[in-house]
Amino acid sequence: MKKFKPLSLLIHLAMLTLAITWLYPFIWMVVVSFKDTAQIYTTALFDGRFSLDNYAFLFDNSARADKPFLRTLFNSMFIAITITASVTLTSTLVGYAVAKI
Amino acid sequence: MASSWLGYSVLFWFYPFVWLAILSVTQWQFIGTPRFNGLYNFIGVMQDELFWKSMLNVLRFLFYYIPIVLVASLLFAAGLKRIKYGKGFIALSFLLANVSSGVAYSIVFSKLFSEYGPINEFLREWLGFAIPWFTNPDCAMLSIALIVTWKFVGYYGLILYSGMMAIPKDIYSAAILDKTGRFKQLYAITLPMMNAQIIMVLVLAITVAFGIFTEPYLITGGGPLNSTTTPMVVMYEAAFQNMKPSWAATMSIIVAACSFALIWILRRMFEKNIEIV
Repeated sequence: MKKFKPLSLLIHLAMLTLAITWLYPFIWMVVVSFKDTAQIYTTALFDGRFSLDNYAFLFDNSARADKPFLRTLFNSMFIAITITASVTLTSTLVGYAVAKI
Repeated sequence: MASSWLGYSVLFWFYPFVWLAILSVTQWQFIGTPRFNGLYNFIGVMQDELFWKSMLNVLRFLFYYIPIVLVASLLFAAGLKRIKYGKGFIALSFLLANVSSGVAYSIVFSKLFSEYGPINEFLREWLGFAIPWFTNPDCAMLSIALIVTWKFVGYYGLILYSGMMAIPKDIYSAAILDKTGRFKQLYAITLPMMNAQIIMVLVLAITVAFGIFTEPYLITGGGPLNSTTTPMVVMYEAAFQNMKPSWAATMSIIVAACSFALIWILRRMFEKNIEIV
């Protein structure tokens, strides 16, 4: 393996740091989803009590009309699958037509 | 097959388009038939201060967004070019921002950048001051521009990266033989050779600027003092809160014309035909 040059090492470190910075909102979102609302601001990111309460709240009684989380999830899946299928189908047809012009 | 395609186009493209044109010269409130009222909508929108304030806000947004996003994605492309290990991870973590849902990240950012949120706590602890990200009229649009930059750097960066990779190596070899410095190589070779990609990024940036809705609507609600109201927010409120869909239609035509004009001017001024011989 070739040895790292100092400049190359520096660029790798900088880009990796930036990538983690870009991911920070997602990391924060995932970690905070395990905490109580009251603890979001008062504790450090990886401190505090972690629990699955939020997830339990989301999926408990999710068949009820006022909390239709599973239903909305299903709607998204349905739209994703139909759009992917129809776009793939029509795009191949259009691609063929354009290629023949 | 052709007839089904024509039918689809008529139903989902031509019909809304004609309906938009009809609405812009009529008065209609979601029920009944539209009543013709000529240029009344147009004159009304022209005198609407909030609408012009929002158009000015788009220019303010572009004033922040264009330099920040262009420099950031150029740096990203240049950095990615020199990466040997973990290129996929780095490109993907930037692109994850681009494919995530606008509503989800708007809520996350409104928490992260709130007055006592983690970012301000960090600043207070290490630098001794906090920034009123969304509560100061001068700062709010900059914050929105930073969030949109966060979203689009990976996407624009990859476009610029592809342009950067397409520049032939011999041009640089010739330049180095002539003892051209690194800085001169940048503005005499790299940037002019990437003209097509840079113009494309700028065109995409202008289109995005006229269409931002989720971030101001969810994070600031257009405030403070209407400093982050965008035409899309004004149109949405005109159509669905003030019950004036015909005004919204007129506004959308004006916004489309303005963004088209801006892109036309940009391409006229900066687009060049680059030929590699």
